[in-house]
Amino acid sequence: MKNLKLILLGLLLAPVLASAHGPSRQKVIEKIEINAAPDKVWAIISDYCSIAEWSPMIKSCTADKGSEIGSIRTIELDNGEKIKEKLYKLDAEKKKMLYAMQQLEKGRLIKGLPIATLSSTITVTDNGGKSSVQLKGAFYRAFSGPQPPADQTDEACTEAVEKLYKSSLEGLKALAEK
Amino acid sequence: MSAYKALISFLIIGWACVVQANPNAYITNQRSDSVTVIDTATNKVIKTIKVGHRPAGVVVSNNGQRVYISNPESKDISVIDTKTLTVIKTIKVGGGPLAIAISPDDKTVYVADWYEDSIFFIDTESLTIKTQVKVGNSPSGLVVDPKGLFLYVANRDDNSVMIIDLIKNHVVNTLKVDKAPFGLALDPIRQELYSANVQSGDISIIDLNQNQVIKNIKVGTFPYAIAVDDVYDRLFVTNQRSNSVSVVSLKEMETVDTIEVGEYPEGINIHPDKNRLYVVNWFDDMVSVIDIHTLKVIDEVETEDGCRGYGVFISKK
Repeated sequence: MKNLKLILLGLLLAPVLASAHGPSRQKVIEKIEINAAPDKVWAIISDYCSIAEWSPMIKSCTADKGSEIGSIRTIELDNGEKIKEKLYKLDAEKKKMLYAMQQLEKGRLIKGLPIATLSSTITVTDNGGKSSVQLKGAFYRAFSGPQPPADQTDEACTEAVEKLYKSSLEGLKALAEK
Repeated sequence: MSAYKALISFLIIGWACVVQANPNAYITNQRSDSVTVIDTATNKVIKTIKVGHRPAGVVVSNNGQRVYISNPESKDISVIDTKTLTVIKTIKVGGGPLAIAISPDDKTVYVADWYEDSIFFIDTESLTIKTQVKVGNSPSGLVVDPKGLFLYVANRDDNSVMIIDLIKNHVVNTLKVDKAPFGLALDPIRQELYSANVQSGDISIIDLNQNQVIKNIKVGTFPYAIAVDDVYDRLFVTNQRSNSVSVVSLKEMETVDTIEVGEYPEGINIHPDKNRLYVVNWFDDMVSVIDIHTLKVIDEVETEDGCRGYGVFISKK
């Protein structure tokens, strides 16, 4: 009974706390080797909304200003959740792209991805004519109190982001090596 | 730069080179529960010290004898003795200690607690909590004026800066700034306070004689911490999501330059020799060393995973 009360209290407080970043920022780094020229891989990635074509967890994508800096894309996950991401950097020379999730509405929890913010950097480097692709992510869990439920801990969030990144890179490899 | 100013800075530098030993830098590594100690004479790591869980904030005492580290997830402060480079005490504090500062006389350490919306005052002799002062939502930045009369607190989720009177130990003023202030810095000569506003991507300049914001200056994306350069009258601001440091001229009241550093730069300090700027890059586990005269990166020092160095991490002595 006491536990139930605590859970209810937690549920009541959760939206209030959602704006703060009490917990520490987490990072994820995933890499993949692709048997295709860096130019070819970059041509795919630098089209900001192409992600729906190669990331299996992403069903659709629309961007308000295409691949221009500042463009905001709305991606739809396969579970129906929608996330807005803004393009901050698109460096063709370094083959590096930086984008970040827009601030979520207060109290919002993304199903399958219980994070509050996520900024991602994708980089293509030349590896003897082939490509090494790296995805780096910095994020906070959405649950901002000190005691998150088991499916919203830093570890659970890290796993979710790793899954998104890994599947994206594998999808990119499959498309680029076609 | 005027010839006069050049001469002054030359004299300061010359003087500094003669009497100033090269102090250590103490960098918190949030993802490896440790502090990396860098000898700034060689920019080599001389020791890694285990501290509490997820260390973030740091302050070196003014006499250089101690370093205080905040550990938000073990909810405590690690006290390091700089002679032995060991933790001599761990002090339990609140629910999520983050920003940390010290009084000019080294007698009191101030700790901002993110979850309890409070500042804890720690007595450095007994190493116990002596006072708790309630502030606004999510206090995240702290700075003490050099006379030890006022403590300034950035309340991230209230878009405000509070002024605590250190004689009365209570809040005497609350000033509105731009969105989500995090790092704070003070220029005692200009009588100005600066807040780095994460969400609005700018610096609020507060005139401490009028107690109000006189200008918001655009910098990069997610500005986090600030260092005051009193040689050239500038601010250096880390921009977490631009992977850069903005150079803000206090005379021109605008951003005049941008220096590329590592990814997710956070803590930033000017070396007491006033020649070098140290920038802590969280994602790259690396500290960039910048020449403040040329604004070029001159060295890089590897740390452990997730370095932050939020606070005063270079000893003055």
